[in-house]
Amino acid sequence: MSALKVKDISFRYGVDDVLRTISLNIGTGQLVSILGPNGSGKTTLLKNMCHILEPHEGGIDVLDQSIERYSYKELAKKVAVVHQSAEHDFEFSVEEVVLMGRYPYMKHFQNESANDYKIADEAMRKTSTEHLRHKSIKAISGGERQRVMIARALTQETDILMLDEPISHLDIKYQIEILKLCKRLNLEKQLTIVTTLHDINLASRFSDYIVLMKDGAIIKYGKPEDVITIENIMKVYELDVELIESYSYPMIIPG
Amino acid sequence: MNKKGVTHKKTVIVILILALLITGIFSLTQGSVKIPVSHIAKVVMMELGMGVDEMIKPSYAFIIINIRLPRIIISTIVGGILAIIGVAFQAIFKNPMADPYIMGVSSGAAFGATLGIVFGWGMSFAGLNLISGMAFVGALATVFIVYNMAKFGSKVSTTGILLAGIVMNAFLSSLISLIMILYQNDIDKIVTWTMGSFNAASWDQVRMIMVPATLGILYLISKTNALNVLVLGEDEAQNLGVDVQKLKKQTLIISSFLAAFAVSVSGIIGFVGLIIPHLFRMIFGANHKILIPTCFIGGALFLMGCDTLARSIVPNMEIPVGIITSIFGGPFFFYLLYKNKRKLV
Repeated sequence: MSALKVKDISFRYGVDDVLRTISLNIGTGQLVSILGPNGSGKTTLLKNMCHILEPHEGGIDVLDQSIERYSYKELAKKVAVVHQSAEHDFEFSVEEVVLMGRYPYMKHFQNESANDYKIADEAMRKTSTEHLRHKSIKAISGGERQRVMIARALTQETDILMLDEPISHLDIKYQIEILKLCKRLNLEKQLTIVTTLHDINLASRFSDYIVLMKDGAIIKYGKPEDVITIENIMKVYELDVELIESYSYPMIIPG
Repeated sequence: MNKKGVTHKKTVIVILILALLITGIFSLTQGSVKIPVSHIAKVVMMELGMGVDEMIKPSYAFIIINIRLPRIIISTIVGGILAIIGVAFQAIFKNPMADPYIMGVSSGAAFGATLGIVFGWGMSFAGLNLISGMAFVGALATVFIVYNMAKFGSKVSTTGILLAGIVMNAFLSSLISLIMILYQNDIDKIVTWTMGSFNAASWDQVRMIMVPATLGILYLISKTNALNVLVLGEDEAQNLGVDVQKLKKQTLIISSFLAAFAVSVSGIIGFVGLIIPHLFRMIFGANHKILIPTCFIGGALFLMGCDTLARSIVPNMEIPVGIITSIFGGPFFFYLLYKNKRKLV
């Protein structure tokens, strides 16, 4: 079964082509990273895959059903997304934010049930955010907040988790922590994870597959060892790199 | 919200309702004629058809039942409405400065009322005077224009609404000034109307505002979960299952309708929709499940209190309630700003 099937989609902002007939098939239980320089269309592709944006041509299937055929709530039970843009101007406690993940399962006038609390507790335990429970979302660090947003996404109990640059703006320690968390969730729960990333070496280390993009097109899609090559990096980033192959995954050092 | 928060919320709501009742009873005693509490109890018993051993002055009964009670009820409803619209708009616009008049309700209503004052002062139908009716129409017409100016295709831009609201406000204010210059005899009435007052309160007004107010409150209570999610960001909200465009449109339109009803019975009353949501957000946090009910009662309490002052603080004279809310609201808002300066930077 495929988790996400992108079929020849094109997307434009005004007259600028941002995605040019992109096709992509992501199997269930995979951890896939989308890599590419700024402006290559990574985030636009992700936003098309979670229905925030709608492609001008082509279509997208989520779990073998057209994304158009899901209601907002039904889609939110299949796909959870941690966006870059989340705002935190309002005083919510961490627990309140995590519980918001239960929204797609709730009816009007309904309060969270004991079961909803249990699911939120579990998500906070998995992301090691339990101790932050009663803190304000405004009062915690960037790394903690990212883990809280992932906990909120887990509370949605979806098959697919999408993350938009989850580790930009974080210290290296938190970067590793977040990606390890993703890997663990991917392995333990067979959660399909699609994430945009900037760091080539981290993508190579943690991903099953990598999508390498440039100018709104996919240059290469495959396993890290097939994607992270001197030629591909040159082609996409116009950068000379040295390839280190002594680990189980390829790494690059800019020359 | 944790489970402890739920019981906490219930206690606070009970305390607020008690405070509202006590202030309401106190308010009944106040005014140009001071009526003792014992007489109020007797009037109520008489109205309910219970025998009262000692007769009380019929004028007391008239004042309580036909003048003060509808006025207290109206100020309560208007205060509550303005506060929860403030809450909703601040969530929709993700802007703490959003108030119930952000879509041009106040300037539209003022313009409508000004026309009503100049061209048909005192005319009335179905117990409602022409000025209220014109204010209502003016408010809704302005909302319609602002909303459509801010609409691009099927989407509504919140920034567009802020800008269109400012433009309409400036435009209508100039027209009002122009009318005031042309019809100088009516300046007093126009100025007084725009400062807000409940002196025309009647049971007809209560009946008119009751149904929309109840529906509006129920609507907003049904959307508390969605509003919570919305303040995380529009993309987040959509991926949590909220139809963001629909929520924004419905809330903007329903709230503006409510604001138009409020303004048409009371004139423009500032600050309630701004300070009450801020105050309660500081106490309880941003959870709309707590904010909407507590702000409704809090706004009701605040405006009823202000109106009681408005009609009793200076003997034999009534001060427009909008002046009182601003006199209290201004310094209080400064206090909140001062206390929370660090958070704002």
